[in-house]
Amino acid sequence: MNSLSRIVLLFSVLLLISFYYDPYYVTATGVVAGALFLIARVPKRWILITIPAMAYRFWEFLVVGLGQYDPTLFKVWPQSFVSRVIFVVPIPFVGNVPMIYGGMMWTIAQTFHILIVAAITFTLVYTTSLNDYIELMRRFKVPYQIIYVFTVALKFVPDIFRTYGTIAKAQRLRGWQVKTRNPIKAARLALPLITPLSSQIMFYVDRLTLSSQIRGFGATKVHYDIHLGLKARDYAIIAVIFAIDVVALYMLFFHNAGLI
Amino acid sequence: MAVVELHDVTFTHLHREKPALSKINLEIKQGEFVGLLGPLGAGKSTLLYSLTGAVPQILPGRLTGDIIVDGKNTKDHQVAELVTCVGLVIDDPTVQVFNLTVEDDVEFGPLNVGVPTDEIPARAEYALTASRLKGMENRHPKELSGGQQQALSLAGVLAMRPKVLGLDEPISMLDPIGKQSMLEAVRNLNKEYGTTCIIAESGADLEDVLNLVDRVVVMDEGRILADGNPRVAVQDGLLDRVGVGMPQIAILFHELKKRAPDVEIPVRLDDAISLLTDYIRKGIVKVQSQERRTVAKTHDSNPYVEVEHLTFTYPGNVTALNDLKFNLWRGEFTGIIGQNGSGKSTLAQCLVGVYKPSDNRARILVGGVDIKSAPLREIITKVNYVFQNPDYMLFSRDVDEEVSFGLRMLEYPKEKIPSIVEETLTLLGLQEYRKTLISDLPRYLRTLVGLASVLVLKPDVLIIDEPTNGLDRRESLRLLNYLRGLQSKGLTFAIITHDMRLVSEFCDRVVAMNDGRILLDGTAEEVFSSQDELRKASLKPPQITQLAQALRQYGFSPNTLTVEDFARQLEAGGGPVAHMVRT
Repeated sequence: MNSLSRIVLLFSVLLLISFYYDPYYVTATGVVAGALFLIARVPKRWILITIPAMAYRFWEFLVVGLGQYDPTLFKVWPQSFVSRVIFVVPIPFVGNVPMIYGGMMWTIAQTFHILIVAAITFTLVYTTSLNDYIELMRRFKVPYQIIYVFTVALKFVPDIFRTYGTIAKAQRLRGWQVKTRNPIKAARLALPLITPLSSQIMFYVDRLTLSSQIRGFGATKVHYDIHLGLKARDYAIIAVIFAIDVVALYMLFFHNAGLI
Repeated sequence: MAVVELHDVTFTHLHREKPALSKINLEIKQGEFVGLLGPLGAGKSTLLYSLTGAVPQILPGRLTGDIIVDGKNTKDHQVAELVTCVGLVIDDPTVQVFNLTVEDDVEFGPLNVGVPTDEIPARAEYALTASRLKGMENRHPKELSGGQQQALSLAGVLAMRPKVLGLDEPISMLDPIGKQSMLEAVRNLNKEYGTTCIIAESGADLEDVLNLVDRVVVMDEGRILADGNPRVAVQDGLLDRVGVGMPQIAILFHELKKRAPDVEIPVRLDDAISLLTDYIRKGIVKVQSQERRTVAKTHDSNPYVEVEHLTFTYPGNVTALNDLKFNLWRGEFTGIIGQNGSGKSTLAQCLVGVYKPSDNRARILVGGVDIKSAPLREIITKVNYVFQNPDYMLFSRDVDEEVSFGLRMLEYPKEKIPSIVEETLTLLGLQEYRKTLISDLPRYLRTLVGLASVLVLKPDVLIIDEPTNGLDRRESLRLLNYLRGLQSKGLTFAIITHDMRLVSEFCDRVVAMNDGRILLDGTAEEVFSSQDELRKASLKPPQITQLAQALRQYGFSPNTLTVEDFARQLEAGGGPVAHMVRT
């Protein structure tokens, strides 16, 4: 598959997932994302990174989900179902706020969005060369500054993860561990990780800037005339994806397909 | 015609008072291969960066004077515009490689500078051929060896067809054969394509670099001290005085010269071989054949570290250690060598319990403690590991606070901590820096503080990864001498290194690894005389051993390990050469 059609396919899943909250739709997009992730043979441990993010944001989504205690907000699923109360949270000055099934479904869907978006993003990163992104973005006249940030981020993020892992190992071998539940003490105990990581990031950014510039990145006179090299099959794939997206968005906006 | 001209160039980094470059005047002609030699902080890297325009555009500071590369004044052009005039390869290949395949990465530069599409494949072809990467176009950069990754960085720069190529310690992170393969690629580029090459070096790879260059510029404290034929630098010991050290062959011939004044000082190994052959034939030098038997080291006690059936597989099914058996005895100073990716660091991290073995049969015992089940807090006081970059560890305000951190974490009694810290700082000669800010320490002292911050936990065994990385020869020797002093106090050391010269000078025992297994294990003499096995592990012996092995037919022992060993076999001017040699 041409890189453009691959990017279009993956962005299409990303687009749809951002609108879907219905568990059936979320599951379906999740299955597609999971299949793409497996087909691309992305290292499975990459997805583990999302677990802390999901765990952390679940609580945040739960608060927002709690705010959706009015069952009429949910237009698709039966009111008798979405209005059922799971638990009640007493909030000072506000009173008892019920968590209803509708709110909880929204919370869970939002949490799983993180997993699906990560799977798609990792598939994109793993299967598409940096040159392809740059070609594509330049085609669409994306400003140089944005392309630069994107390029550096793609290289920067995995490298910094690796550095963080090494720093954590080095500090553990000096006896470092977080044993306290006191958030202030815990924050102080994070210093042995944060301080070296910050200085490494600054050093790395300098080196990366230098490396990218000595590879000609940001040269001013770029005459971009690269042919995208799409074949008939790629045009067909892009057309099908486009059609699916149009239908899905029409169904979403006019018939609430994918909502709760 | 000069392709590089520096006229009265002075550069001071932002927030610094002392200039990194001071009144530099230099001209380099098209096709020259120049070695830029000097200790850390001499200004070599700054000079190379200044040619690319990165100084002061990316690394800010005050620049006076003019830097003209291929007729363009760097003040008038952006870094990205100068890439077709001057390319730069830095020490760490991982920072310079951006793409997922070799071919994509090589095409990254031409694409950025807007080379027409139909011209890019020819550019890539040229760069891949010149860097000796043909046939690897579709490989992921991470599948390449360290030497090949650096060659890929080189190819990425070459694809932009620069007239001048700057190489900032490009082989410092590579194993010996990786160094050789990278340097051959650069030599090829210089000879076949006439590219002007400027390579910076601070000591560890001096012998390899001097083998290549046809001119040297010696720098210290931002100034040029000498400029000319490489012989200039070794003739009067200038390199030694500035802290870069001297090639082993040059030290040997200097000693020989004291007995036979007409002796020339060679720069390259080949020259040393032919000169010595000539002197032997003419009778200027006589060989006192000594039967040097390698004595296999025996141990009369049980090993302190016992490892059996150790297998470790990284996610993605990459086997780093394969059913490995390994022992360490108390008080030993062991050098662990092997090519990049041979499993040295993984072994160390398994020994300290950071990685858990993949095979249940594995047995790792340190001083009777089972590492597989012991808590990390117990392990680190038995055996510990120092990562190669001290900046991964240092975070405190001053040295005292940094070194005491581990003790505080392990909840040592508060009243005991100052005396333990004091004792550790004294061992490493750091007492006077006790209240010095970490940020004010140079790399050498930061390395020592990193070491002290682990040593303070009083482990019986300490494994140090590339302890001399980033240090010049003088500092490396100081550090290794400190370690040797600690060894005499009963500590057990294992160092992971690519510096074969230091291994031969300091280690009682050498373990050579290859493909996750131990290939050779013995004294340095035993290991470095196993030429075929070493080649298999992409390793080569120190320069002086190579000289002895090349002249074996004249009676030199192939087990020769140091300059002193070699000199002991020589007689000139009616007397032995050996007694005054220093390595």
